[in-house]
Amino acid sequence: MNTLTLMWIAFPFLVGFVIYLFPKLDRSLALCGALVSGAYAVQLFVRQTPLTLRLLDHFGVSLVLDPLAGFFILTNALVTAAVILYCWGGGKTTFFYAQTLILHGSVNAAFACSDFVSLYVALEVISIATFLLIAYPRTDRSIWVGLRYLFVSNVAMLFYLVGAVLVYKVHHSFDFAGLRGAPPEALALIFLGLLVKGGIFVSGLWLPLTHSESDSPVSALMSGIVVKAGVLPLARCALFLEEVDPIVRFLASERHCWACSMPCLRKMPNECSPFTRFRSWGLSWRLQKLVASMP
Amino acid sequence: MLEAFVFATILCGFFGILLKKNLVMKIISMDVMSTGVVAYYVVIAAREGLFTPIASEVERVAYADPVPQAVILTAIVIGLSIQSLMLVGVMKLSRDNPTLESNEIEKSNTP
Repeated sequence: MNTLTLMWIAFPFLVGFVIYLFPKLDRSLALCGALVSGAYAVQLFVRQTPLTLRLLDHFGVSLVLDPLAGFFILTNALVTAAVILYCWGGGKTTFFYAQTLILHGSVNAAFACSDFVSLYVALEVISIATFLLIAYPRTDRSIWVGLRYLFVSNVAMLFYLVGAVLVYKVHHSFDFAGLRGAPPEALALIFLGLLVKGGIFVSGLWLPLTHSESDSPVSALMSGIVVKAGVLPLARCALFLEEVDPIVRFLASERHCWACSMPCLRKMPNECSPFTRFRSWGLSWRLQKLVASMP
Repeated sequence: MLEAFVFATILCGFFGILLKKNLVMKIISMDVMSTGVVAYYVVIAAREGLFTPIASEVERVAYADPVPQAVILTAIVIGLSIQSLMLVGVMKLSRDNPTLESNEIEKSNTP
């Protein structure tokens, strides 16, 4: 089972690079990568028992795969498959499919990991892949929007790193569970990083322009999966620490209000699309359900 | 004391990012900020000792903690790649916006 999980994590990256070697097969290979993820998520639902992997002692990488992560992984697989099918006859280049699959793999990794450093690496890979996808048309505007995104996310991740080392200082481990007993400033810095990556209101004000200015497939990828890579770790932290519970609950409902009011306040074609709005409602609803179902 | 200097570096970088108008200056400020973060990891690693942790015949001395150093190595590499990406983006932008002032670019590129 452990080998299967590791293969599942490595698979999209591997296929992403193989796509460059066989440009003719780009769409089929990309679709195959998404379907493998979907199958893995279904298998997680069937197993029901959470799988915990701890590689290289307690300093190393730890992964947690439970049905909760399964929902997110399934979403990831569905959104990626939908985007690939949408672009099937659209004349996108091999580069686009390879980047989409690499993005897919890094989002999967972000959903699976349960320590701060692996999460950091996964989130940074997500930023780079997203930047490349946003800047893909290479117009001035797209490059500028991509640069803005990269700036915001990198600065947020630097604060997150400071928070992570504060957790390490107390527990000599980067595990999510170390958040209990960590100083409040560690919590604040880590939450700052994750809230910015999750595009949640005030810290997520980069989101509307970035989403509306990118291509519609890229916009769908960003709203469908990229922002959730920040949200699932946030929910996991709330599961470890009941003091955080009211904060996450508040953010979930606030995101809900924001999702309804923002499209009306500003002229944003992509953000106005019903798909995106339902996505926001769905996410906030899920988060509230999740927090409500906590023991 | 050392920690205070490190935090001063991080804040200098952060305010540089916020206050500088030129994009290249912003990227340099981001580098300063990430240098501060790297230095903080090194300071934390050196709390319990300064010796390089290599197994040898020498009697037990106060070793530095290798884990934060190993972790921050990854962050340095990622930071480098992100900065190079940003510089490429800025090079592309500089053809049409030679002054590279962020407010000017923002004005001409928002709908």
